[in-house]
Amino acid sequence: MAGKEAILRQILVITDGCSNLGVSPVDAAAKAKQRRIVVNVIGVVDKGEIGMVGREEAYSIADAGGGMCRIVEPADLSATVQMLTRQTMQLTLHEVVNEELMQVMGKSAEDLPPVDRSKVMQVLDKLEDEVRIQLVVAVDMSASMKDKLPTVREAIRDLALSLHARQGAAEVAVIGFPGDHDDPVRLIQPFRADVDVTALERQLAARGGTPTGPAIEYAVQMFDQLRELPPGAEEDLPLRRTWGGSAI
Amino acid sequence: MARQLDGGVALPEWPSGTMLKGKWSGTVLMIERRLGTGANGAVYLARTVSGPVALKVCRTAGEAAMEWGLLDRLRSAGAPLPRPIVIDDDMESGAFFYVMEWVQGEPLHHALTRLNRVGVRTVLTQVASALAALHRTGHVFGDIKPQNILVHTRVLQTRLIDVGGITPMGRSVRQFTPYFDRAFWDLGSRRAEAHYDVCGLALAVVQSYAGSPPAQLTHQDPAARRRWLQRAIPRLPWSDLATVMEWALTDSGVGADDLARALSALPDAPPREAGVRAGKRRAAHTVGSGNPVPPPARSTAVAGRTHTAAMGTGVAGAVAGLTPSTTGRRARQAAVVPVTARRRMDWTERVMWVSLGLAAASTTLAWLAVTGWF
Repeated sequence: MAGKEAILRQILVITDGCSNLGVSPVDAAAKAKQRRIVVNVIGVVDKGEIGMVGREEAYSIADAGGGMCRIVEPADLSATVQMLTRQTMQLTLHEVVNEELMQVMGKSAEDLPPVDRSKVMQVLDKLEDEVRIQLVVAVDMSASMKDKLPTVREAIRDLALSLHARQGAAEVAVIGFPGDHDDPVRLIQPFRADVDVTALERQLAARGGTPTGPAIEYAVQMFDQLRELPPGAEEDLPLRRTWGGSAI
Repeated sequence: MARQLDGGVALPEWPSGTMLKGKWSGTVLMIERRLGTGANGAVYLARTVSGPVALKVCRTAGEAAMEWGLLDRLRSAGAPLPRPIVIDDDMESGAFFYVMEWVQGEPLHHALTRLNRVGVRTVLTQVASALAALHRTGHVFGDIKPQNILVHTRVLQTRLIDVGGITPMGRSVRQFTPYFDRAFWDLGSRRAEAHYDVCGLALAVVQSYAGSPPAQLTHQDPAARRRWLQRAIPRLPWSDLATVMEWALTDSGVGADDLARALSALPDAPPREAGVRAGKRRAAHTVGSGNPVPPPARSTAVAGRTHTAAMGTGVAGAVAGLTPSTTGRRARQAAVVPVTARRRMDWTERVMWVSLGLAAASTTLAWLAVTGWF
């Protein structure tokens, strides 16, 4: 435990349609995944309009980013944001534990008898609560999102509250796309332990197109800056050391 | 990968009559019908050789194992949860499920609106005591909502079902439903502590009577949500119940035991109506003082003041650990107070008496005229 601290990294994209500016969001998500950053996507639909193309893209981004995708009504946004974040954390940890089990016993958790699985889950659950998480929320602020932004703001506030209640540290950053003038992305809040709701209120104003890809790239850069390491220098998920050292 | 992570393993749809066989234990079950679908699985009623059972099927092995582990550990620690029977995977479909005792009853909100005052008091006291028992194991229930509290209205027995939200104290609540989540209403954090459940139960009671909040509330800031709640509390059928619920909502020091005591101390007879309306609003003020409750929106009639101040003491007595009988007496005294308060009539009463007097006078005059006294 004294070694490196385990950190989970996630990007959460909240959008209501198709990207139409800059690099492909699927490529950007794939790059994020290479850096062990999981990309989740939530498509917000109002009265069922997101369209086949938008839906397909949302799923493809999550697929490429190793994360999950949900298409929800605005009323369910807050609950979904939290569920997705927590579940993804669990799944990332689950994968690590499964790899570890494979090495130690040659089986995954699913091959164990159910009663033994529940012991593994207990450890996993504790880990999920204690692990450190860094999250970038990328909010689509194109014109069509205008009416949904208050809901998005409350959902982010709620998410921060939830992460805050954990024992492990949580840092949340918020970016919006498109940005001011010609910038594809705008930084709304850098990584912080809490969410500045008033800043969100001021800054969340909808306009323009949907550069989803550049936003994901920007988020990945934010993680790189946080690691203070040249991009790509850190290959292994440091979590494994923690798990191997303390739990087994 | 995403879809598989997603738990893309869709939940199996088992029609009535489906036979399942456990891969590990060899248990044989026959599906009777689906009882409900939740956030992380579906519950079926099933038959085994030893009788009817509830079967929960989950999307992932992890979820099933997790819930099973909780049930198993907490039941043996004395928590009032369904009795776990067996955990297994279906031989044919590979579905992950566990089997537990089948708990019958109707959800809390249906039961509450059908029961009388004494029934409501009994049921709510039971729920609060059940939560207290769970808290003694070092866990909170988390996902409190009327659907997760089953009441057998004939024998007045209450049970907590669905362990999905159960969380060790001090962690962040694993699963919750926004309208019954104290953080949603800005009444506290999402950290697992006794008051999280107490507050959740109070929210469930209030919404059992007042109905669900409008969907647009989720777009609004916490202050607007609190205003809705403030308006909903007076819709409880009795002012003293409203006072206790308000207290449970806003005082983060209230434990489930405290709530159980305060509830069981409510007298059989409802408080006198005269004080009720004003009382409820005043209650918000008195009980909530020092807490982050916004003052009641409308002004309060003077008549309510004495009444609710006394009510407040009654509840505070319960908190300080007085015996139920003492608090009961205090509460009864409080219930009598409005009679004296009523001496100071408000204008509607004056109008009534004046018009009654005029009516009597004119009738007398009419009779006198008819019988020829003048």
